Amino acid sequence: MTRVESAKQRWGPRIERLGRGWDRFTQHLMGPAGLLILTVFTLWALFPDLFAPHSIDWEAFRGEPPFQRRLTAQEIEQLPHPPAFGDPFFAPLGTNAQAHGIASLLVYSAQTALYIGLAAGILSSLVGVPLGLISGYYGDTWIDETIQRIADIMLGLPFLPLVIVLVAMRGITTTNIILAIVVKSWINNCITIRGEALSLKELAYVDSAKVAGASDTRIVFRHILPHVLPLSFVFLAQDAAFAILTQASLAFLGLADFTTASWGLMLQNIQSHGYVFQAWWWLLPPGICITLVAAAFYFIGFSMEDVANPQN
Amino acid sequence: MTRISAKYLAQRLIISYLTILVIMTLLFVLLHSMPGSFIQTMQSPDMTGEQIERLKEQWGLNEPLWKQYVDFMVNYQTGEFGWSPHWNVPVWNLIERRLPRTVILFGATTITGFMIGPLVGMYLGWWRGTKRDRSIFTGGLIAYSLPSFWIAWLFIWLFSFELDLLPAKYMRTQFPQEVYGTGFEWTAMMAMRDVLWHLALPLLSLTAIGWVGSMLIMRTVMQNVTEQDYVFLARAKGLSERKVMIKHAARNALIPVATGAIVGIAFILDGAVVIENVFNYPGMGNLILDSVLNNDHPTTQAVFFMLAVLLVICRIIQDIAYTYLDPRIKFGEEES
Amino acid sequence: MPGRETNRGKLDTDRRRFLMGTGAGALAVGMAGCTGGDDDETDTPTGESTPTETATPEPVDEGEDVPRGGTLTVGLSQPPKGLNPLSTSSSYSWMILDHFMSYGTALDPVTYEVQPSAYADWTVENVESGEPDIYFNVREGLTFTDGEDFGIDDVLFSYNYIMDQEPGRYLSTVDPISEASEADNDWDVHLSMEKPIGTWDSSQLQLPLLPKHRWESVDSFEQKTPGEDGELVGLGWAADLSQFESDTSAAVNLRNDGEYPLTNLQWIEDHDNLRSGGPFLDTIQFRFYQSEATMNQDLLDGALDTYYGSVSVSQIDQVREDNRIGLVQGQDDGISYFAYNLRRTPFDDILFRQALNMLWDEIYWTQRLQRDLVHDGDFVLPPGYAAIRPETHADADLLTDPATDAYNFREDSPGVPSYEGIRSFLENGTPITGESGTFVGQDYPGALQDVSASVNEPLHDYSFGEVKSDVLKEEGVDKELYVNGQTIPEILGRPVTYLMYPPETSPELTQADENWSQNMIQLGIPVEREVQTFNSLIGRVYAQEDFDLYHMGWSNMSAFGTSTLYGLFHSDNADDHREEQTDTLLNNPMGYGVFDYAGDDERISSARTEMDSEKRNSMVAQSLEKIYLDSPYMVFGYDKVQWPANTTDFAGFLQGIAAPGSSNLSSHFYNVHQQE
Repeated sequence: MTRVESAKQRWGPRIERLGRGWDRFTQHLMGPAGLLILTVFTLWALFPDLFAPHSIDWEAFRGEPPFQRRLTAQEIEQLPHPPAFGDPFFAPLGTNAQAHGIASLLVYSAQTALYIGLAAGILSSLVGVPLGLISGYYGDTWIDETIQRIADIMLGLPFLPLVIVLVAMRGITTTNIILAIVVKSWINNCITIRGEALSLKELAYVDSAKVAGASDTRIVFRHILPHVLPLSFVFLAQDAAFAILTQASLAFLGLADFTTASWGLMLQNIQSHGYVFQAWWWLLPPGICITLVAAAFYFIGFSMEDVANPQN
Repeated sequence: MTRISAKYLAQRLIISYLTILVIMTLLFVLLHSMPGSFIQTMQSPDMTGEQIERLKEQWGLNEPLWKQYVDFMVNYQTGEFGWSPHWNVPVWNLIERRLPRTVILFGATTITGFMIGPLVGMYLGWWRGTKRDRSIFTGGLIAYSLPSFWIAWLFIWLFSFELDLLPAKYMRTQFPQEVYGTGFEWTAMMAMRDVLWHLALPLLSLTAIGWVGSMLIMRTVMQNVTEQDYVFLARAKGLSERKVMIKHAARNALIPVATGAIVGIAFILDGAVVIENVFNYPGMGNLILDSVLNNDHPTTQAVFFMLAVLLVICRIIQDIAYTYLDPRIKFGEEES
Repeated sequence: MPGRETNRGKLDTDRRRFLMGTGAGALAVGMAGCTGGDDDETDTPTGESTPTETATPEPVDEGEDVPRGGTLTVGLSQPPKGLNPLSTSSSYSWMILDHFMSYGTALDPVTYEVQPSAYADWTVENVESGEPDIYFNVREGLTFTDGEDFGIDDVLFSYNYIMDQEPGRYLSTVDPISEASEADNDWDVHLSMEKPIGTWDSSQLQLPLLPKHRWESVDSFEQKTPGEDGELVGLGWAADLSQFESDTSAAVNLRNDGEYPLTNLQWIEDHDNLRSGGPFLDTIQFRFYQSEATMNQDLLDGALDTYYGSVSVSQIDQVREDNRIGLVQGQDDGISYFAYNLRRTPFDDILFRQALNMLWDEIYWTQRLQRDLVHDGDFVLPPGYAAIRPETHADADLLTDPATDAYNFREDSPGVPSYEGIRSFLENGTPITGESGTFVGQDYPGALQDVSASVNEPLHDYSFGEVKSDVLKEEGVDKELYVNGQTIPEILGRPVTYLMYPPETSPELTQADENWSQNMIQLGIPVEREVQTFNSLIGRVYAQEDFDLYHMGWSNMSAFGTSTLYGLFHSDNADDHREEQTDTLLNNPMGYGVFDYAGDDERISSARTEMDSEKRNSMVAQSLEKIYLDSPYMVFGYDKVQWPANTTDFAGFLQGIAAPGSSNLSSHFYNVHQQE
């Protein structure tokens, strides 16, 4: 047997499985649509300067920094400026009250949204999945009991108020917001994964692995983990969406890190400047972007669920 | 058939009680590690150090930490929430007048949400995979992704600002005499209508997002149910598709949705914090936000504590409900 | 007494004065340093020539018959925090309480003179002994809002009750009183004092007067919740509280038959700007909000006639366009400021602080961001309090004299700082100490008064060299500041941390901050901004003194200056962290006065005990200028208050007074009437 063949033998089924999964994923348009949206936002996040009409420091009337003058009073009177195409400046989505272009802010904020979504999603999974696996594998032992009690306790604290307390306590930075979200969001992962692990460990091949003398760690991570991975990706996607929406809510309540551009902050700004009902070009785009990125994560999550639990 | 034994129940209750104790401890630690003390809010610039000390004394902040902890644990369990330094009233007064408002708003949302959500979920689950399922499901997920305050702004813009149809603040007309003429007296009917009128926009905003949660559960469960034997049996009996769906499938699928709802009720505060803020609605959500941001620890602790108790109780009920209602036990009995 | 403020907006108003100062009641209690009754000139309008600034109180024609009746609806951006006059210090609560409470003496809202109210006359004796005796006569014929007669019994009860119960709000007022009793001479009441208090007629004579028949059975003052149990009774002009829903609305009916004695007093009749015989309205309604945006919308929609506060810059255009609403101009009763932590290198150095001041672009802030709704700041008390301002004592123009502009923005071209100039200012090591001279291209004529900075030499050596800090590298700056040969991160262990709270209440200030910190970075000072919620920030600043610099505001400051200077700039009110770490919340977190390189303790102390108002005002003015030179605070603005009010249907608003829409809002309640 050549190495190629053996590799083929080893990887063949996996690739096939992946292919089947991909087929199911693309069965509905939802999955690809989610991927497409995310791809666009990822590109925005990675190469904002390619997509944004201006740099993030650009200001209407004054252009790019370093600025050689102040805005005149007449210019300030015109802010927030509705969309303008070349006269007196180019800002396809208009400007906010601070003379920054909405379109550029929108593009530059993609980084923050993806960072919050992915970091919160991945961290929740990194905490929730292993704990769920351990808890399920050692079901009905003190280990399981301990983990479940901790989860119970955390469930007893209301989500948003707790996040507010944590952020108020530790200072308003994006990192702190992510950590505060993760403090609560790992629990769902943990409980569901535990349920899966409980039923998986009863399966015959786990028993045979045990008989063959495999260590607990090996069984958990080698034999059970791969089976719950798709499910945990579903949760990752949902947690990501949820984290982005939570950050927006926090921003609305005035708890956004205003040293980094984000869509939530844009909405908070329109509120604090008092233009909610006056400047549609400023109100609509950030909300649409938040909805789209959260929806994209949900789309991917629910399409993944189809892959994880093929039922039809 | 598993029925709940007294022993199980007792064990469950003890664990729940301990959980509450731990949550309280956690809360105590959390709030005490927040920078600043609520004494700040009562201090005036010309107070001398001695006077500040006296103030601390009055509020029991000079006690050793363990004593404060014990007092807190004992008082809160006996419902002694003390005084709110921010609002200058007993904490109970605050909760008493704000809780009903939140219950009204979120009771209404829960009702509309659980009327629409499971119904849609039922259809989608039953017709899963069809074009209509996909488009409505996608629409639902998009609704689920809307930032609640943003969609509320859009509704206010449309219905209140542009069309001037619905009020966007408070829960009832503040000075009815101005609107309805002097000598106006509230009647029960009038009051109810007024409250509902004010409820419309917040309710709409909350329901626009809120129905999706139960729809998602219902859709999944419904799909599992369609594969159950008794559904095939019912079909085989020649019952109409519609009847099978509603009478046999949906009824059983509702159980997990309903038990899920029990716990869901306790989570309404998350939505409350944001939506009450948008609509100037003086409920619990605003209360907890103000308390946290103003370092009003007695009130914060009280709200957290009450929610924790509520959540723990909900989880017991959910447990019991599951055991009683487990479809695997009851199915078949009815059909045979 | 001052309240901290976050610079307007939803979060602020309540918190900004949470320290105390609320409504006229508190203003009165905190007002320090006036022996009263004499001719202090505190109503001088500021001399700035901007168009929005010319308002002065309009004279009223007492002969004119004004209509009685009508309902004025007032918005409050937060609900009141209870209606217990002994415990609440929320300005929103006092908006309602002010209708019910009257005091022994009153402060003229225009001139800040102490005038009679429930006490007809008063005197102090034995000042020299160090334990003065205060005597006063109680006015006859007054009734409480519930119709019961008011008498000496109630006065004695009030003093003894408050002395016994010691509510925090009045603690410092009753503390020096050793006994309140019926006088054994011709006077009605005798207060024996433990020590002389210069402000006695506006503090000890302005305790809340409680109805004995309502309060004598109350064992602990906190237990009373007057709004909720219909027990809100006092000497004020209210008839009753006809509606009170703690979170949404309230309505107060007024005694507007023209028979209310305390608005028919001689001094009001003689007053050019106040109308006697009030109140004229039937009812004052209050609507409570959770957000300022909603409240402003309601004002424009016609649901409100006015609101508590001032129009913010982003809403000013809408309000100006509204035909129904007019803007009542007013003076700020507070300041907006940055504070430096004098405990830390290099913030301990006058030269460094002054250099930072010169990087603040005040034109951008006042003209652009605030669209001319603020004055550029200088001294730590607002220009509305002209009697204690240094300009007044040197015959100079308020706010515009070059000596008040020592820290003007130094620019090469509009908006671009003279980095080279400021760098050499640091390197040369000559701070502005009061001597005349040219500093970074601008002439400074020398101090207005005979004062100079605490030191005339810098504490450290400054140089500029290779960039080491990441913050500066990221921004592509070419030089970094070295203090005694070390970069700032090498000294502090981190870049300079600029502590701030969310911009919710003042997004414009956040922009100005951004501009300022960018200027610092370009100069070569690595700065990072750290965001905290307002109350967490209070803890960091006032309890732990763990900050480099932060910004905040004060409102409702004393028109007499001494208590403000003592509270904010005396070492008695600073924690000295050199020996032990304390977590008290004293109001001088900078540590001004603690160190010999910055402080004015002696002058502040003697001003406090000075009984002669002329001398005291001059000492206060000197102190203000010295603090200006030392720069523990950099004052960056005084608001030009724009208070919105329905001037179409109502008249009688007091133009040009301090804080017409906040601290002095309640003066309007007995002056405003319907238009003919």
